[in-house]
Amino acid sequence: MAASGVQGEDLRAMTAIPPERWLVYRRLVLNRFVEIVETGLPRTASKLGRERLAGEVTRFIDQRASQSPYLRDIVAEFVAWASQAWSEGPLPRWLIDLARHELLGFEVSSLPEEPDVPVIDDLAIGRPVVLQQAARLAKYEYAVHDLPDDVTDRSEPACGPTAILAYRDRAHRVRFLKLDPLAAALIEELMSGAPLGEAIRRACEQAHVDLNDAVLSDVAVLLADLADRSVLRGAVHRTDS
Amino acid sequence: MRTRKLAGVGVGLRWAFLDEAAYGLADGRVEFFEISPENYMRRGGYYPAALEQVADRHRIVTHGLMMSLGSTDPLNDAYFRELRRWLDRFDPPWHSDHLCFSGVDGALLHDLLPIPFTRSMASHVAARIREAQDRLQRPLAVENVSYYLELGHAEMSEAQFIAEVIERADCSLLLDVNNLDVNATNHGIDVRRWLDEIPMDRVVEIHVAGPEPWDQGLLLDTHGAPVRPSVHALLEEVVARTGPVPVLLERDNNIPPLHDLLAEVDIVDRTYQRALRRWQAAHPPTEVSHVLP
Repeated sequence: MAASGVQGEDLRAMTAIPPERWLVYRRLVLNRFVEIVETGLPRTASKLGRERLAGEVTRFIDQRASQSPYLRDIVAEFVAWASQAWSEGPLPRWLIDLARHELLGFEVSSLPEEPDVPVIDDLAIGRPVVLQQAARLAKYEYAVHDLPDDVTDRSEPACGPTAILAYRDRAHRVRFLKLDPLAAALIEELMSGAPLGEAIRRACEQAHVDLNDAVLSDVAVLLADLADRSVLRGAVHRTDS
Repeated sequence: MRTRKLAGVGVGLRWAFLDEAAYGLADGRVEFFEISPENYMRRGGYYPAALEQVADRHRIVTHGLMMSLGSTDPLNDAYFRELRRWLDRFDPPWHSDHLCFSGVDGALLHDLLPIPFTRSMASHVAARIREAQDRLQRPLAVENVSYYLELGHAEMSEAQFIAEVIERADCSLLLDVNNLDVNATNHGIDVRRWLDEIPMDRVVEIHVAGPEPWDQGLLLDTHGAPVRPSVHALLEEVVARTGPVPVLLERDNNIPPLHDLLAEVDIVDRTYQRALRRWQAAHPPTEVSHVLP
C-alpha cells in the first residue's frame, strides 16, 4: 500500500483492516466474473471445471480486468484474453474455438439493431446488400459447432476448417448455419460491403470455383434461403437516381 | 404523460420473471418495476423487446450500476451518451446510482467498492454528481452502499458523508435500508443516530432486500434472501419520517417464483402502509379556509 502512495493515517487505517475483509471483495469480484463467463460460455466453463475456470478468470482479472461498463462484455473480453493466454499451454487447442463459438451465440443474441438501417431496395447486381445487423460470420479450426449442447458432454470436435453464420430469427432466437467455402466467402464479401456481382466474382476466386450458370443458380438458392431466414434484407438504396 | 406521483412498493425486474411480467402476471400487484439500464443499453434481441411490453403495463424506475461516482477516472462519455438516450426513451422521474467506485485507470471490477468518508471525496463525488445530472438532464439520486471495510482514515461518519455529498450536489437520496442494516450489523452502527443525520427531505426512494451470512458473522448484501425483520422495522421508521415514497424490493440471487416474490411484496406493503399511517397521524391534512370576496 505504501508503494502505491498510501500514507499516514490512511495507511495505518488500511493496514489495520483484517485481511479477511479485503478478501470479501476479491471473492465478490471473482464470483461475479466467473458467473458471467459461465453464463456466456457454459460448455467451455464445464470443460475447464469450476476450479480451473476460477483460476483462469483470476488471471484475467489480475492481468486485464474489464474495460466495459456492461457486465455482459466480460465474456468477450475474457475470450479475447484467453485467445492469447491459452495459445501456448496445456489446454486443448479446440477449447478456444469452442469459447469463440459460444461467444458468437451469446453476442448475436443481444447485438443491437442499429437505428440507421439504410432504406432497402430489391437486390441488384451492381449494389451492396443489406444484411441483418446482428448476423456474424465466424471461422474455426475445429468443428466445434457439432459438439452437443449438453454441458456434461466430454467429446472432442473434429479438426477441420469450419465457417458458421450466426443470426437471429424473427423470434429473437440465435440460429447457426454451417457454410461451405463458397458461401462463406460470398457472405464475407457481402458483409464487407462489396456490390453483389463483385462479391460473387471474388467469392468464386477465393473458393477456387468457376463462375458458371450452375454456381449462379446455387448462389441464387443461397440468397433466397438467407432472405427467408431474415438475414438478407435487400439491397442498399440507390441514392444517385 | 404520467404525472401521478410515484409511491408504493415495486420490484426489481429480473430475467427470471421478465416473461411473466411482460405477459401481465404482475399487473395490479406492483406499483412499478425498477431496472438497471446497463442490462438493456446497447442491446437488441429478446430482452429489450420484452422490456417494451413491461413498460406498456408498468411504470419504470431506473437504477444504474456503473456510473462509478467515486472513481478518479473521467466520466465515460460513450456510457453517458447512451444512458441519456436510453433514459429519454423511458422517462423515469429520476435516475439513481451508487455512492461508490467500480474501477480505476480504465479497469472495471463490476462491484460496488467503498469510498473514503473524507471531505475531499465528498467534494469530488458531489462535483461528479452535478456533472452527471447535467449530462443526463435528469435528477439523480445516489444510494448508500453496503461496505465491508472503510477505505482509509474516515474524517466523518458515513451518514455525515452522505449528507454532505447530497447537499453539495443538490441531488436526491435513494436510501437502502437493507444496506444500512447490513452495515449496522457488520460495523456496529447506531441506526437511529445514522437516520437522524440524514436529511430525510432528500429521500426519493427506498430499497429493501435480504442479505446472507458470510464468514465470522459478516452479513453479505447478496439480495438473496427475504427481507429481515430488522429491515422491516427500519423501513417503517424511515417511511414514517418521509411519507409516501416508492419502496423497491430487490432480489438478485435465489430468486423465488414470481408468485412467491409478489407475496413478499404484499408483506413489504403491509409495513409500508403501517408506516404511512404513522406519517399521516403526524401530518394531518391542513384545513383550508374559503374566504368569500
